[in-house]
Formats: sequence, structure tokens, C-alpha cells
Amino acid sequence: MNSDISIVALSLQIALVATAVTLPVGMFVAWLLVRKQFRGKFVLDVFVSLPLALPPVVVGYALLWLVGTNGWIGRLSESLFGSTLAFTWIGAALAAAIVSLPLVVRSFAAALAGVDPRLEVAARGLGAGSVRTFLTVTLPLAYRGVIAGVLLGFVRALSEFGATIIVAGNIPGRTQTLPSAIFTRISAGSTDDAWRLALISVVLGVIALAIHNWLLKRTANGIYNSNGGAR
Amino acid sequence: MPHDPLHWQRLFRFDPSYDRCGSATPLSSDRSILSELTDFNKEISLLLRRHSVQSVLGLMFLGLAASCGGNSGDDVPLIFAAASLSDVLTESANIYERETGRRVELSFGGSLTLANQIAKLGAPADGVFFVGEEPKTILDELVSQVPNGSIGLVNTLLVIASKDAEHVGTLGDLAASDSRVVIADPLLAPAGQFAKQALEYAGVWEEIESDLIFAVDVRAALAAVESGNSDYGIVYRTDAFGSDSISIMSEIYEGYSPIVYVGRSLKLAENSAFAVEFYEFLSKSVEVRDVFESAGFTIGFAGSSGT
Repeated sequence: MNSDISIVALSLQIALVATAVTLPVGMFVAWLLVRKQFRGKFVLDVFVSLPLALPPVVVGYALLWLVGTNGWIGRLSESLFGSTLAFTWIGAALAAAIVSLPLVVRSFAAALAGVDPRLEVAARGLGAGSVRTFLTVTLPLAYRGVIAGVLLGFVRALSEFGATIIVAGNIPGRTQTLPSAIFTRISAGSTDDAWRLALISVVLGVIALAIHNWLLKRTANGIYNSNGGAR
Repeated sequence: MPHDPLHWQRLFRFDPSYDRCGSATPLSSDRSILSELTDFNKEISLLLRRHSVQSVLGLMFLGLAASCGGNSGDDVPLIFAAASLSDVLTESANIYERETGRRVELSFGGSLTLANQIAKLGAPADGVFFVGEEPKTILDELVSQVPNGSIGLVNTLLVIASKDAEHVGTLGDLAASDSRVVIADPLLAPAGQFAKQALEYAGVWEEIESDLIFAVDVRAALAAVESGNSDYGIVYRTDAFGSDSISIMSEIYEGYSPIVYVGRSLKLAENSAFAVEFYEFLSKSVEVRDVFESAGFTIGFAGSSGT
């Protein structure tokens, strides 16, 4: 039971850190893809979306190659912190972030594309800088899509297995996430433990989706109410 | 008016005379749009300020704290061990903690999988408790050449069957039965290599090959027979001991290399000295010896077991 809690805590930690990475990165990439015209846009799009089209194991292997003892990121982190990111929870978070990034970017891009660019032009015309325009005009209008993207990325990161087990292994208490713990228990024939952890996954998924719906509803209500008050 | 955050986008139309540098001609709904946008921003900043940021940071902090609590000890060695040792080593680690107050972290899997993770990918183990010669060959210079703690566990192979499978006597009968037979993957776990050696020695490897299923490690092979997904399996004697949902067909006495488990420390690892302490405890504790023996292991001394 105690180990269940630490498995869930580690999974949540990894998924949250992954989400914290994908949120700004995904927002920037989505903004580039939707609002900017530049050389190599297609390449960027394909590169960011590729994890969606690849077996997660391949993503994991590529990442391991980068962060492992022979990769340049691995060598960098080894000289800075004395160890590589392979077989650490940070490696697991990185894997989860990369695998969930395509979903996040896609949601964000759809949300940004739904914002009328003329409103941004108007804001700029009224003297707002690009950052202020983005934060006070674009983001509020794209808010629902952004929430949807964040939640989608979070649940994907929480359920990540293929890339994680390659990059971070399956070390209890260190890198063993909920999916890899379930895998171990199924392999070992501990069906009761496997079912219990699977049930926990279902509960976490339902909670995440409930928060998603609650946030959306709450935002919508908030706007309705404040409008009602203003008029 | 529709209460939809996008409605004012639809209402808002630029005057044709509008140009980017000049000013837009205000429309009648301008004021309400502005107030709405302000409300929206207030709402969002409140939401962000009140909930998301705080709770996200709070959760992250909790998560970090939890993880630090989870693997806090700097003197807690991480030991990678063969899947077939999962029950006995977990129990031994409990005895170790009860008697000395020290802890070890254990991670189980196929010995070859884990040895490769350490040797090729830099997995952070402080000690290993693997079976057979090949893991040692893979780890080579990284591990102590002499086993630590001078304890060796010896095992043998069994043919097992699910409850309702027909009895088979020899490996020849097994191959002739044309039933599904599960073994550990010879690429990932020594148990698979030993099983392959035994089948080759009996001269039935070619015949049985098409009926074989490979599992990630020996415990996964056992689980496949326990669940009835495979009729037969070849596993270690000690795996079959703990299971009452399988029946033992026969013991395989010859044709494979000695199945010997020894503990070794990783020479360069930070906590390797603590791993050695654990191995020494294992070889001295009578209680641990009982655990190993009641699980079906034969205890030998590393010096005399040919490693």
C-alpha cells in the first residue's frame, strides 16, 4: 500500500514536470506554427509531431542516445551534475514531455488559430506590445483550448510507458511509474497488485478529466456572471 | 446577446478605412467589448493566481518532497537482481532492515537486461545479484571479480505445466506434445539460455522451437503457465516452489551450465561498500539462510561453486 502511494506520487511528479515543460515550449511552437511564416516551418511541424507517429520505444531510444553516456546532453549533464539523465526520474519526465508535446502543440495551435488575428492587430494598433497582446488578448481567447491541451498533455504524460521504460528503466522508488509498475506486476503474475494499480490509473484519469471539465465550466460561468453584472 | 466569449469577435468588424498605422473607427459595441475583455482578463488572472499556479507549484513541491523521502538515503545501495530472486531477496532485505536498521533498494528483472542497462546505458546500480556467467562477462571490469559476501545460490530447472495439462515425462515428450511452451527470452534472461541449452542437449530444440513463447524474464514465464496462457514452461525449481496453481512435470538434471547466483558490487559506484555490507549480512544471517533454503535454493560458497 505504501509503495502504491510512492508509485502514484512519482508518476504525478513526472507528469507535472513534463507538463511544466510542454506548456511554454508547446505554446511557443504553436504560436510559431499558427502566426508566423518562415523557412523550415514544415520541418518544425514534422519534427514536433513526429513522436505521435513513432513507436514510443523509438522515441525513448533516440532520447537515451542523447542523454546517455555517449550523447552530448549526457556528457553535458555528467560534467555538470556528475551523472547522466538516463535512469533518473528527470529522464522519465523528459520522455513524457517529448511524447506528449505533439498533442499539446496541436491543441494549442487549434486554440490559437481560433483567435481572430485582427484582434491582435487591433491591440497592437492601440499600443500593446507583442507580449502584452499575447497575454491579454490571444491567451484569454484561446483559454479553453489551452486548458484542454494542458490536461491532454498531462494525461498523456501520466500514461507514458514505452519511451519511459527505455530511458528511465523500471527501478522501484526511483523511476518506476504507474504503467511500468503495472507491467512488472503483470509480468510477475501478481494479478491483484496489477488490478489495484490499474484501478488507480482509472481513478486518476477520471479525476484529470473531471478537473478539465470543471475548469472549462467554471471559466464559462465566470464570464457569464461578470457579463451579467456588467450589463 | 449570446453569452459566448467569441460573440464579440463576430460583432467586431473593422471599418474598411482602418489601416494598421491609423486608428480604427470605433464601433458602437466598442465599450462593451472592452469591458468584457477586461472582465475576462480579471477572471483568468484570478483563476491563475488562486488555483492553478499555487496548486501546480504545491503539487510539484509535494511530489519532489515525496520523491526525496522515497530515495533519500545516501547510504542506501541500489541492487539489481535476477527476477528469480525477487521473493527471497525482498524478504532478506526486510530481515536486514529489522536487524541492522539499514536499507537496500532492489530492482528485479532479467539478469541480461539489467546487466546491459548498467554496462551500456549507465544505470545507477551499486551492486548486482545475477545468475550465470554471461552477466559477469557483460559487466566485465565494472564489477568485483570475486563475489562479495561469499555466498552462492544454486538452482536447477523444472518442466512445469498448468493444472489441466497432460503429463509429459521427458523433454522429448514435451517437444512431441505440440503444445505451447514458455521459457524466458534467451536474449534477456539467463533462465532462457539454460532452458535452450537443456533443449539443445536433449536434441529437441529444432522440433520445439516453433512452439516456444519467450517471456521477458523467468517470473513472466511462470506467470504465463499459472494463468493457463501457456500449457507448459521451463523455469527454475525455486520459481515453482511458491506456486500452487501449477504442477511439476519433471526436473531437468543435465545439459545446462551451472545455475549459480552471486552478489557482486560495482567497483565505481557511490554506495558499493554498502552493497558489500548487505551481501556479507546475507552470508552470515541464519534467518536469511532459512529463507533461501525454504524457497528451494541450495546454498553454496562462492569459492567452491566454480565462479
